[in-house]
Amino acid sequence: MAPRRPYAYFALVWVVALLNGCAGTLQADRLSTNQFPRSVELIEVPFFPQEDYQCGPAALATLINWSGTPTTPEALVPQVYVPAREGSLQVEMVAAARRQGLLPYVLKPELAALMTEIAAGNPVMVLQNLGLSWHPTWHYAVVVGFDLPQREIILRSGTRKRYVAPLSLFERTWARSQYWALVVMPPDKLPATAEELSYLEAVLGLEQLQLWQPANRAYAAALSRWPDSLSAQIGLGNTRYASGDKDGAEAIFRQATLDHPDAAAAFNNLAQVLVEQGRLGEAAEAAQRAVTLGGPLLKTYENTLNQIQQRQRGSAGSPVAQ
Amino acid sequence: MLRSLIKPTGHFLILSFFSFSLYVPFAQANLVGTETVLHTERIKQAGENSRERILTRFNRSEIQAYLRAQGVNPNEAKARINSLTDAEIQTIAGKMDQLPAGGGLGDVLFVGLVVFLVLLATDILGYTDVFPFVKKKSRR
Repeated sequence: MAPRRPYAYFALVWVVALLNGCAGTLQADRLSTNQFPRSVELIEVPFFPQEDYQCGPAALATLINWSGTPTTPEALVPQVYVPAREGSLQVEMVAAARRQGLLPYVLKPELAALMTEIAAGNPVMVLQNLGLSWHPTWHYAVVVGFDLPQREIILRSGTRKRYVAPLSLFERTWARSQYWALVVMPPDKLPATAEELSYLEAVLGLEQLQLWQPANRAYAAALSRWPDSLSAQIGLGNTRYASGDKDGAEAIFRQATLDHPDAAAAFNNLAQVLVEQGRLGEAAEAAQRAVTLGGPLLKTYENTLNQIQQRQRGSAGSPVAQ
Repeated sequence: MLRSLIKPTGHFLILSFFSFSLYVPFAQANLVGTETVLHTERIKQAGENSRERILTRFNRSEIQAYLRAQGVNPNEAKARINSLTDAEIQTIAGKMDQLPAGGGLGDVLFVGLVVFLVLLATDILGYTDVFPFVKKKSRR
C-alpha cells in the first residue's frame, strides 16, 4: 500500500530513525541491582482516579493521604490547578503539600533514589512527558512498586489503579522532566534519601509559612539524624521562639554555641532570647561574643548588643515607678 | 520601566534582608533567620560566591498576576504565591510559560495526522506512552 502522504511517511521514518539514533543510555540499564529488593509493591497506597486534566490533584491527594492527612483531589484543585494551562506546576504541587503541614521533598534526579524511597515504603510522585519533546504530554503519576527481574515499574496513573509499565519506557518518559520526583512525608519522618541541606531547605518552607508545629518536629527529626547541624539547631530555636517556647529556644541556642563556638548567629540568637527573659548580664555577654566573631551580619549583632546595653543602662538608673 | 529601579532596589533588599527577618514575630527581635544561616551553609558547601537575592517582592507579584491571567481565582492566587519560598520564586520567575503543567492525557487523540503517526510509532517502539491501546510490554 503506497503511502498517501509521502512527506508524512518519510517524516515519520526520519523521526523514528532519529529517536533510535539518540536513544542514550538509561540509568535502568546501569543500575546495580544488589542494593534493592527484587520487587516491592506498596499495595496500600490509595488510588484517586484523575478527572480531565487533574492528574496533579489526584497524585498529590494520593501522597497526602498516605502521609496520614485525609484530603481529596477536589480539595486540592484550587491550590494547584492552572485552568488556562490545563495542568499543575511542579512548584505548586510542592507548596500545596507544605500548606498541609507536611514535608515535601524533591528527590535527587536518579532512578536509584526513587527506588530507594519505594523500597523504604514511600510512594513517589513523578512528572513524566508521555509524548514527544516537541509535542509534550506532561503527566503526574505515583510510583508504588517495581519488579527488577521483570524490568517493570508499577504506577497509579490517570484512571489506572495499577499500571505496570516497562522500566525502560518509564525512564524515558520520566527523564524528560529531568527525573523530577517528589515524596511527601509527615514532619517527623525523614525521606530515605534525605540529605542534610536539601532537607533543611524543605523544612524552611514550613517555617516560612509559620507552621511552627510541623517545622518544629521536622527540625527535631533533622537534629536526631544530623546532630552536628547548626542550621537545624538554629531552625529549631527559631521555631520554638516563634511558638512562644523561650526556654526551649534558649536551650537549643545555648547548645548550638557549645557545639559551634564560632557560630556568631547562635550567640546572637541566644542573646536575644536571654534579653527577653530579663537576664541582661548573660545576654550582653552572648551578644558581645557574636560581635567579636563578626562576619557579614555584624550589623545585626551590633544592634542586638546596643539594644541590650540600652536596657542595662535603663534598668540601672530607673526611678521607682509610682 | 522598572528596570532602572531594579539594581538599587536589589541592593536595598539585600541589605535589608540581612537586617530584618522574614516574618512578623521577629519584627522586634534581632534574631538571625534560619534562612540566612542555611543560605550561608549552602554557600559554604557549594563554594560559590554570595548570590544576589533578587527582587522577590517584584517576582511574587508578577507570578501572582500570571496565575490570575491563567484563570486562577485572585484570592487563591495570593494564597498560592504566599506558600512558595523565595528560592522557588526565583526558580520560576520569568519562566512561567515554559514550565511544564502536568495534566495527563487529556486530548492527546485530537492531534494532527503527522503527530498521531509519529506518536503511534514512538509508542510502539517504547519511547512514548500516550495510547492505552498500544500494549507496553517489557522486553526482558
